[in-house]
Amino acid sequence: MRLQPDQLWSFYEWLIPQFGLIQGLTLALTLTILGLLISYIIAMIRVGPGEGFYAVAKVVSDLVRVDLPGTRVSRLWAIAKLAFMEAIRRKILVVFVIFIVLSMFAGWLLDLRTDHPAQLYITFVLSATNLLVLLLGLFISTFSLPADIKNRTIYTIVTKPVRATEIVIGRIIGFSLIGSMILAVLGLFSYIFVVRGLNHTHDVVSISQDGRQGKTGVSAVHDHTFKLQADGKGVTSEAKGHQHTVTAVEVDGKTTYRIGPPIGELTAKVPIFGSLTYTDRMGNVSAGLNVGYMSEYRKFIAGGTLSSAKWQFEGVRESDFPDGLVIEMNIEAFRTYKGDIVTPVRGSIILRSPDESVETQRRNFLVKESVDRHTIPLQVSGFRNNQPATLDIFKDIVMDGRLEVIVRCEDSQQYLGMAASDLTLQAGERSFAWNFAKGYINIWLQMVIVICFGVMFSTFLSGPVAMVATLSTLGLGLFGSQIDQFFKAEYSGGGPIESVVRIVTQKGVMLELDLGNEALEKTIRNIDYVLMYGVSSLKSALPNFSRLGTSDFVVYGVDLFDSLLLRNFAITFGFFLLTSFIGYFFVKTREMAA
Amino acid sequence: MNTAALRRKMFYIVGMVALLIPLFLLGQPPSQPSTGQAGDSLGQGGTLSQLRDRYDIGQSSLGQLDPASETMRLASLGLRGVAATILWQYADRFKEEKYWDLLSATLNQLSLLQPHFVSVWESQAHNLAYNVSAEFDDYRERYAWVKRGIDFLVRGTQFNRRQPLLQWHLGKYTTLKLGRSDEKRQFRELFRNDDSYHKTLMEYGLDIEQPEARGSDRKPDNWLVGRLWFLQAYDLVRAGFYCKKTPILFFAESPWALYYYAEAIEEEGVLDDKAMFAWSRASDAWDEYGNLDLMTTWGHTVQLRGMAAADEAVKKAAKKFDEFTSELRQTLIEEGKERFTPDEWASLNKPESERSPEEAELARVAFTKVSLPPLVLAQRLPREKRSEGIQLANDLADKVDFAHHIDRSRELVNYRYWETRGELEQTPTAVAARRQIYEAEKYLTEADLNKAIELYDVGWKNWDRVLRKYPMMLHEESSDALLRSISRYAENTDVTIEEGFPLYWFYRYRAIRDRNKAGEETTRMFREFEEAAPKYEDNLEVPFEVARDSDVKTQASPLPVALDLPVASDNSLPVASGEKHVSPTNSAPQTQTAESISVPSNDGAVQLRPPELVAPE
Repeated sequence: MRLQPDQLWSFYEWLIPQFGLIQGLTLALTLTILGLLISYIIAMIRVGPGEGFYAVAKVVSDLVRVDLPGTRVSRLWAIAKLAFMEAIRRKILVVFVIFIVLSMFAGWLLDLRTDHPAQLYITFVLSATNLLVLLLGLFISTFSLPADIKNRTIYTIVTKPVRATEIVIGRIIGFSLIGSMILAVLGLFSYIFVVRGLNHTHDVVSISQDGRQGKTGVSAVHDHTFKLQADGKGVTSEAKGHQHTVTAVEVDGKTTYRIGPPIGELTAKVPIFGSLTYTDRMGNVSAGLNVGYMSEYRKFIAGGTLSSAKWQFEGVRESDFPDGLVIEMNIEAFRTYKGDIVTPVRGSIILRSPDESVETQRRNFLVKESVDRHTIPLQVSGFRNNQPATLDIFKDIVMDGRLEVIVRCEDSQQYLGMAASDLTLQAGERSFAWNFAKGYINIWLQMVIVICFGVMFSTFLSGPVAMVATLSTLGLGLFGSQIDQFFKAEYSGGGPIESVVRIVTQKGVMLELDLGNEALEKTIRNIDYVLMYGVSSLKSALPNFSRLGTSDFVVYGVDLFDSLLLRNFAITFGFFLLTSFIGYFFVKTREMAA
Repeated sequence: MNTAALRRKMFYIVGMVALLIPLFLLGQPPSQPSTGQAGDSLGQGGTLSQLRDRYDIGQSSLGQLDPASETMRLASLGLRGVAATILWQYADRFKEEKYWDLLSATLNQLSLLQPHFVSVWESQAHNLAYNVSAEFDDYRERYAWVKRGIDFLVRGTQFNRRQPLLQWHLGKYTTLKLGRSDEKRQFRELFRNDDSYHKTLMEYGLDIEQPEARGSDRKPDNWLVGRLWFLQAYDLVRAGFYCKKTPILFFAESPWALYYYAEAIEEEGVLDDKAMFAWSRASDAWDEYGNLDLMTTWGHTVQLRGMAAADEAVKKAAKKFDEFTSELRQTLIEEGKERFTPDEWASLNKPESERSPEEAELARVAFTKVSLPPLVLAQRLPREKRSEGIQLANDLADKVDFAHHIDRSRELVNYRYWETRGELEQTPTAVAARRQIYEAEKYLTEADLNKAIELYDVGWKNWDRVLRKYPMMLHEESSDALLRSISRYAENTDVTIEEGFPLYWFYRYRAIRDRNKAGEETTRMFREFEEAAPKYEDNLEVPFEVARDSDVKTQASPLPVALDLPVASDNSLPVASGEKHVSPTNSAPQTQTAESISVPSNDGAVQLRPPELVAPE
């Protein structure tokens, strides 16, 4: 699993030192000023500068003086209930049918031969649910208000003592409620689908003469070998990301072997992530080496030199590691010569105190290139001020919860590659079901944002147009990173105009545009730049759905950070406030127009 | 009703109907004829349907109809191209970022969207089997990804039953990727023991239970299993399906697989009658291949074994033409000679080897004055003979072309080399030579120097006989290995490789050649070896064996054995002057006697396959 550095920030770190709050406030302020300015210009054109100013000022003053203080929960609830019932009437429960049909045919798309079937199953249910629920939010939120306006049923509401704030917020709450209900049912169904889909057992096909070792039959496209302890209990080898318990049982004087359900497949590990720095061949701090891969995610260290990777951990508590320090790593090897093909490249781990006075002896390992777990006993031999000593990890090395882990490559001319999230300390495990639920809560937050935008657009656009606008918001939020690539000149093929020209002239994206007229080419590029800049600015004011997605945590069995979930809650709440305000403004304008 | 609105709606309806008519004509599906009687053929349908029928490219005729694939194609609502492009981008990103499982899943989706686009199967299977597998350090992981590439291609064949190219690739992956990689020893071992994958291959319709697919240990061997894929590809081509490969190379794969199989088992220590049988089978397959009628890129259909006949035909045609034009040619030569300059005469009178570059050029110019291409010569014939002369000249040119094309085609697959290799490797002497050196090196590793030297000495003599009879092998890959063995022998026994050592001539030749690749000296030496080769009537059926007590007492050669076999001391071959080589054991006689010769014994052939691989923990 790959993490971006910002995902590791605590909620406070994101909110204050990393300017999350300031960015939100700035965005809100900018949009408010811009909105008021545009409204004033429109009002000025329609009724003149004085009257226009008065109209805009009245809306703002109504919000502060009348509508906000006058908003009542009972009326909000009534509107929400109406929205809820309306959604039911519009047969949105058909979503269940779609999901069940998708699940029935999931087997066509899920390849059980993969090394990690659990990851594919979870990815499938999360993506399918995410897509369905976002589309659901889009459809229910964008057509309701325009239909009321078109049918003039809105007048029966606005003539009642209902505030414009209640109309907007009530709808958001109502649609969110129906969405939540559907999401809850889909979540439950998905959980059962995943757990049942992955559950399997094996029969035993061969057993050694002493009855201590054996092999299972093939089930779910894999088999295992196993070893039993003297008490007749044991576990199988790992295959497809899981193991099974094996128990030898005497039945009528005959030994039979019971293979339990898969274990270790659906987990929610609680890793402690550290910050990573590299040193070069001479032991000086460096940025790490690139061995020629396109991806810059992992950096490499050279073997047989002073080059190393150093992780600095914080919050390492003794109570989390009662049986030893559990290190989980996924290090990559890069060979400059093949050498001994059978033996993997060797690396070593050293634990060191933050003040560098105490460190353990090197602990060698062979690179596995998949999740590799090492438990380091609490008592180890090492060096204190360069003198050999027996050390207690938590008494001698960890200082105020801080610890350094150093990894070196032991084979000369070979390289090891790693990123910050490739080495973690495993501080226990939490419930997979709760982690799965957190994944769904995150989907719920995305759905609420879509509903907020849908309702907001529907206050001033017709149903289909509001839908397209919300869909564009969603699209920009999901694929907006490609726009950034355009500005970084990482995107071949140019902007919209250049793309059209290329399609018409049948020119591949890697070729020069070469229209035979430099001025024309320059003009096209400049127009593209302006257009893309506009879209990019728009994008930065919209929610970034790709960053809101946290499905990787559930897929890779890592407990979703509470800080991240909290951050997403805060972002959702921010957009709720923003869209409600804009929505209120437009409803109010229509009310006044009516 | 508003008239304008009605008019507008009518206009729309008319427009839609007008557009639907050509759509209907184009896309009408084939249907049962109105009579509905049994035996009636299907109605022809629209233009598209007719075109599909004509070119036999309907979905069901291309390959398997997969509901998942059809659903995905329909679900993309005509945006299949866009969806495929996005998936390609995803696949690229996943590969760059090394999300291997996601890459594999994306490729599956991609192939479902474009199941009949052969290039997708080809390139992405290659991606999995070659590019992704190479990203892993653990050879078992690499092996697993090669299998994934193969699985991917097999799915491709199910969707595209008329594409021999996919079967050909399957053969390539199974043979070359598993059998020629750096980790070939590990890959082959894993493949042999991969029972669950053997079952999968059986499910794919590849009968690997048959003896043809089983190696020397009765387990499926990658070279032989891969060959079965090639044979499937051949069947498709013979059934009339087109394959974008030159037939000369395409049909060579099957015998090559057999050759490489034989080579592989010998490298792994199977150096007995099983190896001889493997070489013999490969050699037979090569002969069969040589008898095939193969289309060349020049448009001729040739048989690679037809070289001698083609040469003979050229000779005959040339003789006939020469006889027909001898008078004119003589006249033209005389006329040409008159145009020679004194310098040209001077250079022509010098022996070729003594000419300077300028003189060589003058001689060449002089030669052009007296030599004319056959057609030009024929055109100068008297009118009454000209027509026949031109016909003979054209006939000669055709025959020369034909022979040339056979020759070029043979060069393309190195035909002569494989023919010779197959012939020699199946001889007991060649197998014994390899076994003796292999065992000697094993003893050397175990530090049993005496046994090693004993085997080495016999092995050198067997190699000497083989190489003298087949000088072509002097440049071959396994002779490189032999050279390394000689160096190891010299290092460990402190023996200087010099005159008297059975393979001194080979050692010296290779030393000179490695210094000066295409030098005059090596060319001359090699020519001499080739000229001397036929003099060796040694039939190589009876190899030298290490004399054991039991051998001497109990084993007598059942074959009539020549007592004076030509060995290394043959003075007809170039050897360097210097001190005589003294064998450290002095056990190898210069002249072979009946006591020291024994026939290859199956009992003595030890199964030397290395032990099964275990996890590198």
